[in-house]
Formats: sequence, structure tokens, C-alpha cells
Amino acid sequence: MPRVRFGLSSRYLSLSRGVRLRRECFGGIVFDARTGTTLEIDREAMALVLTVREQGVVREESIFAGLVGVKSPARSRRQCAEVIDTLLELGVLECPSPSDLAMRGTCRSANVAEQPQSRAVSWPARPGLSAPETVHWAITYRCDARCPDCYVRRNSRSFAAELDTRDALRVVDVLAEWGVFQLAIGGGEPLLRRDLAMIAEHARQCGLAVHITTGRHQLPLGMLNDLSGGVVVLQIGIQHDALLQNAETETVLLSQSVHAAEDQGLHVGVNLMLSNTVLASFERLIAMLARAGLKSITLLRYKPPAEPARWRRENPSREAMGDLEQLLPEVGARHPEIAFRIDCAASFLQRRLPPATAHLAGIRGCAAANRILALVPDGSIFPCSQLIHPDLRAGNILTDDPGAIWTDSAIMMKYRFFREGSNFRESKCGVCAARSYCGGCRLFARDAWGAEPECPAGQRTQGNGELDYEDTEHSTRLHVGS
Amino acid sequence: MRILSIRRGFTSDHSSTSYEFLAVDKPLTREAREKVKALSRRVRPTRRRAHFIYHADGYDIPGGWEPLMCEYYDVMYSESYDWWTLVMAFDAPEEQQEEIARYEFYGVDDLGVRVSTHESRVIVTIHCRLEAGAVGCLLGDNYEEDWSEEGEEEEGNEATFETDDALLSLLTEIRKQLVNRDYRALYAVWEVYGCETEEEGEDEDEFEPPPAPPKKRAGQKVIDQLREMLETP
Repeated sequence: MPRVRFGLSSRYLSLSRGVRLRRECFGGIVFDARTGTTLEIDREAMALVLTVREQGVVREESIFAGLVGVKSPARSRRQCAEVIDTLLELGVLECPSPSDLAMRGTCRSANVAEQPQSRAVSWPARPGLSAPETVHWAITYRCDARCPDCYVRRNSRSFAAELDTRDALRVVDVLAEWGVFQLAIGGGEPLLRRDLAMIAEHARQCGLAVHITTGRHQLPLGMLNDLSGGVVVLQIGIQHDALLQNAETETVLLSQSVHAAEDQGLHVGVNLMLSNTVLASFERLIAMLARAGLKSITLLRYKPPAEPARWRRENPSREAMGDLEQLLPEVGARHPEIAFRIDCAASFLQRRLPPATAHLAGIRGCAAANRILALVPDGSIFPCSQLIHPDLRAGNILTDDPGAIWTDSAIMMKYRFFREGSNFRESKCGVCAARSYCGGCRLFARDAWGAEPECPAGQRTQGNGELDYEDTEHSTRLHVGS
Repeated sequence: MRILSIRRGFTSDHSSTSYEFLAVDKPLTREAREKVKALSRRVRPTRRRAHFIYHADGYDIPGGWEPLMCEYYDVMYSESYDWWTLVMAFDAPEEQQEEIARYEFYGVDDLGVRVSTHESRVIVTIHCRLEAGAVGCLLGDNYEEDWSEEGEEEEGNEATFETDDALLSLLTEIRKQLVNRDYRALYAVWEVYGCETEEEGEDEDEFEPPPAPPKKRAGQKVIDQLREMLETP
């Protein structure tokens, strides 16, 4: 029996529970369902992690010993050690304790781990991801609120037929089997579905990290308790009009919901829509959300609501977005406890990041038909939840092969590789230094494939510098043949 | 073998802690580099610089950064959750150590200047927040170039070593002033973070503000640059 020693020079490694792996052409994706942390790693690193998963427990030194025949052994060993340390820090890998090893019956495992089996790993050949990381599912278009800025009412007449519970559970099975990591369920108001907790719990059992987005500030304890069996993240869509008009009451309601949800073990975040009203009171709203105990705020770009007049009034100009760009670092510094996330539709707010920083942070800009895919209530598939139109329907998750749609559908391909089109390459965004991690939002690009008109760095698109409602309608209608 | 990207998930731990060290006066010997290297398998110390990064709470340089400043490095900056630590170390006689200690203060949110001495070595630490724009302009995107091991042996032993990291360069300039008993930089930090504390506590505390250093044109650009970078509370 080998003598098991612990310490930096001779430690054992295993894959942490809750970590999922998916091979990709560049190597693979590591997703930690406990924290939501997502890593992209190259083929060598992926092979290492796959080996650890297959062996159960591996002695670290044996991994180094396996680096034979490489061009630069010392450099390879150093890089390998760096990767292992980072994976340990992030909790992707762990060092089993002696009792863990004993529980695993590791006398045998440790023996095996002394010389881990190395086998050839095959890699997907196609560029792009083999499946979306996250699926956004508008599980219902029903809603009991009449939020004036809701973009869903724009599409709610089409595809509104909801799947029953049995089919909804089948959707979850399909996504889990496909290799999707996260399921973001929204609506409409998803809490109107009585089977939501059951669907979420099933998804969690299948290994998916489930997010729910609700428009309600007030969440009863019983409902949170039901959801806690399946949901990892509760995202609250902030009704800013209500928050601004009844600041004290709404902040207290939010605070109660946040704390009650956290007591149930949920991670809580909010979505804040960047309308003109919000921008005018941005600092005040953030202060209120901080007071309510929020630690995660996602800033969503204002999308065209059902009413064109509302859009014209509330859609921020390029200059207003420029002002926000200046203000954000200041507000972020004032609230270091809050993680601010930026909707990929507003990636231009991060365009000044050094490219290496942006890439290392995994910022890639438009995620349509790439990291994300959208489902509507009847199971129809679209590249993104903003691109819902009969012309952009790529299939149905229950009646078509999602993998084939993902890899072969002309609609998916066009959005996934929009940066390669001549319309984009020859546009202002196409020559921007941030094109690989921004690229603008396809909903807003006037011809669907060209430049982002509202980027503060962009040129004016109209006399008044504002984008008109019909432009986004036009973009949504444009299909791949155009 | 490498990690291509790390995207934070839904936990609130959304940042990391990093350190940049620079040896100004003399490069590290091979033996010294081995000792630094032993602190983390991810650090690749060159003769002049070392970079540490920790991605999660609870991980840090074993023993802290201070011993490294005592032994090997002359300037360092560190960022953690948007809080910055700017450090300069040098040898100084006892009399000068006492002079510098007068600039120590704890200001708003514990931002301010700390001074510690280790025999003849003085370590001056500025705890601050930096304007985001200033940081973006200062920090280059040349990490890989900085850290390629090729060519490191070409670095000379000369004491006038210059780095292409703008923040390290600025700290090197400030350090030069401190060595020459010019404490305007520390006074500038007090003006940003200390004045308010002084007003609040003047009746209940015997806090004595640091002495105002004499004004002069030489080196003022360095002071202005530091002042512009400091985020006002």
C-alpha cells in the first residue's frame, strides 16, 4: 500500500462535486453549479481535468510525471502547476482529506492515481460551442403586472401556447442531456406557473443551475421555500417607477424579499433597465438597492417595449449612455459590495477594457446563438430572447433535434458568426478594437448585421442621434436571407 | 496549458487580489528568486519583478507581502476588491524614520498612510482608492511581454532601472522623493483622506496633522499625478 503524504509536494486531487465539464473545440468549459463560475480552458488543461474526473483521485505528482515527451518539460510542469493552483483556489479541484480518501476506499484509488491512465481525448471539430451555456426560457407570457417597459408584450401574441408540465419536464431533460449548464426561466411572470418549483427542482436534479426572473418585489416566504428546492438564483426585475415613487415602502419590501430569499439559500440579484427615467435617478436607485441588501445588480439595456411612444421617451440617447459610462466606475467604487454586471446588449460600456483583461474575464459581447439560446412558451427556439419573430424561429426544442439546429441552422450560424459578415466587418464596430468582446447588439443594428448605433464611441445615426422604434422592428424582422 | 477565461458566477465574490513587485535598487539574485518562487507556484519572478494573483477569498501570499518588501523589493502595488495598497520601501537612518512617521494617519474608511520600520528599512504604505479612469490609463496591457522570461537576463544591474508599468514607475518616482526627504506625496494623501478626520476629531483627539512640506516646482508633476489618481471619498 503506498504511503499517502499530504503537502504541496505530494497531494491528491479530485474534482469537486457540482462541477460539470464539457469538451469544446478549443478545450473545454468547466462550470461550477455551486457558484456559477465558468472557466474556458485549453485542451491540455481540459485533458488534465478529465483525467482527474475519470480517476476519481489523482496524485498531483503523477500528473507532472505524465508530462513526458513534451517540448519544454520544465515550462509544461510550471504551467500545469499554475493551472492546478488556480483550479484549487476556485474550488474546481479539491484536495481530499485523509478521511475523504478513506471514505472513498482510496487505498485502491491512491494506487491507481500513482499512475493515472492517459488516453486520447477527442475534441469537437466545429468552431463555436457545442451547446449553449445558458438557455433563457420564457416559460409563460402571462403576467399580472402591466409594466410599461416590458418588451415581452411586443411578442406575446405569437408562440404564447404554454407547454404542460410533462412537456416542460421533457424540455429540461433535453437541455440537460445536450450539455446546457444553466437554465434561466423568465416570462411573462414565471411565478404564475404552479408547476414552477417542480420544474426547477427537476432541472436541479439534472445538474442545471436554475435562475428565475420575476417582476415581483414582494415574495411570500412559502413561495421562496418551495423554490429553494430547485432554484439557485432569484433575479428580481426592478420596477423602477414604483421604487422611485414609493421609495421607503418598496425598499423595505425588496429588503424583506432579499433577506427571506437568502435565508432560503438563494442567491439574489436584480435587473435594472437602463431607461431615461432610471438614468436620471441612477445613483439614487443604486443607493436604494444597496440599502435593500442587494449584492448583484445586472444593468439591462433598454429594449423596445410594446408602446412606440414609450420607447421614444425612455430610450437613452448615445450621449446619455456616454454619461453612464463615465458614472459607472464612480458608482461601482462607492458600492464595492455590489457586483455590477452588464447586459451583453450594452457591451459597449466595457469597450475600454484592455483586450487581454476582457478576454480573461470571459467578456465576449453578443451571446446570441453562442453562449445563449432562447426558448418561448411553446418551446420554439430563437437565437436570443430579444430576437423573437416568426422569421427567426429556428425550430422547436421538443420536436426538432436541438443539437442539429444549434450547429446547422442558418439562423443560428448567422447570429453566431455575425462578426464575419461583410456588413459588420466594414462597419464602425468591425474596425473597433473592442470588436471581439463587444460588437454591439443585433437588435439595435440598423440593418441587423452592421454597427451598433448607440455606442458612445459611434457616430450619429440620425439627426438627433437617437435610434427610432422602427429600426429595431426592422432588425427583428430581418431574417437570414436578407 | 492554460486557463483562457474565468467568468464569475452568481456568488458575490467577484474580484481577486493581485500584487506587482519591483526591485529598483538591485535585481534579485537567483537564490532570492528561488525563495520568492517558493511562495507560489504561479509566481514567475524575474530579476526585477514579481506578480502574484489570488482568485478567491482566503488565499494570499504566505506570510504576507511585507517580508518581501523588507528583503527584496522596493515598490509594490496591490489591488483587492478595488482597494489599493501602494508601497515603497528603502533604507533610512533613524532620524529620517522619525520624520516619515509623522506622516502616518488613518483617514476616512481607514484610507491613509502607514509607516513601519524594520531595523534600517522603512516601509511606507498608502491605502487608497484610485479613480477608475486613472487606473485604466496607468495600467498597461503588456503583462505577457513583461513576464516573458526570454531576455530577462539582459536586464542590467544598474540602479536606474525603469519599468514600463506606469503605476510602478510613478511609485518609483515617489520613492525617490521620499529617500531625498521630500514628503509632498504623503502630504497629498493626507489632504485627500486626512483633512476630514482631523476636523471631526479635533476636539476629542490629539491628532497632529503632518507637517506641510515646502513647496517646490521640481517633482511637482509626480505629486499632481498621484493626487489626480486618488479617488476623493
